[in-house]
Amino acid sequence: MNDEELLRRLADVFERYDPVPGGIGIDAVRAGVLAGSASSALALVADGDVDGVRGAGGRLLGFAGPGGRVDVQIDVGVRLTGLVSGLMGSLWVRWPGGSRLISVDSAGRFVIDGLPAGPLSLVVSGAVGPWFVG
Amino acid sequence: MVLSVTELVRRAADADQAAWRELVRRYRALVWAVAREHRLDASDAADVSQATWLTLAEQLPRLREPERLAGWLATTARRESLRILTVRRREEPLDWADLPSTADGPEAALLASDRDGALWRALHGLPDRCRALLRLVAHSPGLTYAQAARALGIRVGSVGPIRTRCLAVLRRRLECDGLVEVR
Repeated sequence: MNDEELLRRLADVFERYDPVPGGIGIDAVRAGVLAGSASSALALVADGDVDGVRGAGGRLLGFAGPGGRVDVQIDVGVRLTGLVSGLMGSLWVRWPGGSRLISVDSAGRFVIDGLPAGPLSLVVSGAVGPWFVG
Repeated sequence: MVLSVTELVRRAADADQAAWRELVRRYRALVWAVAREHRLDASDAADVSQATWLTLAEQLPRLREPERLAGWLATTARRESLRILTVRRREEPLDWADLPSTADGPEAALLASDRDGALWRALHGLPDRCRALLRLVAHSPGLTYAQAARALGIRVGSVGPIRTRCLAVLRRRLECDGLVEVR
């Protein structure tokens, strides 16, 4: 057995004992993101800790869009808590297979829970943000 | 007819779902391997894989060097894996050394007395870095040393030597077990 044959055997063994779950990657098609999608207009500009509190959990993300930004905290659950500043229009959260309109109060704050586990992405007035996971 | 990666990327960017599925079929094991070899559990590795594929789907029309897709996927999966690891370490500070290996481990193969089971056990006797590199190379033989180095956070110059040494160690163990012929 030469190196190439051995490596092929290894690939088979990894697939047998630690297989890729079914459906992964195919969901991108169902999410309708394959081609024709808006250019990613919300850019990830901050990714960090929740006030540096160890054990508090949650991930803080900041996205910049035309004229403003959205800051959001993701908690296990899955819950998003955040603040929109300077961005106009409706705010949506999407995931492979669905999306929900987020209700934002007059100060720009929002809380939304009961979201599915897995990758999420924010959309503000058609400006699409990158995919993130908690 | 086997289509090139560049052609598959071009077709998938034109919303050809068959081309997209073929891309996923070719590289899903590589993306999964990067996440798992960063010691993510199955649930986090699934999230990393999904996020990597979704990001690719949106980046397809703007992908600059489609022929280097394997490297792009591996690097993207590593970036997502590191983000998750940062969050998990914050939630539950653990000594890195205490973390269990993510895959089912050799015990999963204890009952499998066949050659695959023996190979799986031998792989888990290797240092983590050895197993991680061999896994990436096994799933994606076209990965360059530079791409493999970026995906695992190791120096480019050490990829070749690690690959050679780890294959030799693995081969010796398999020979001791009578699983490959002595040459």
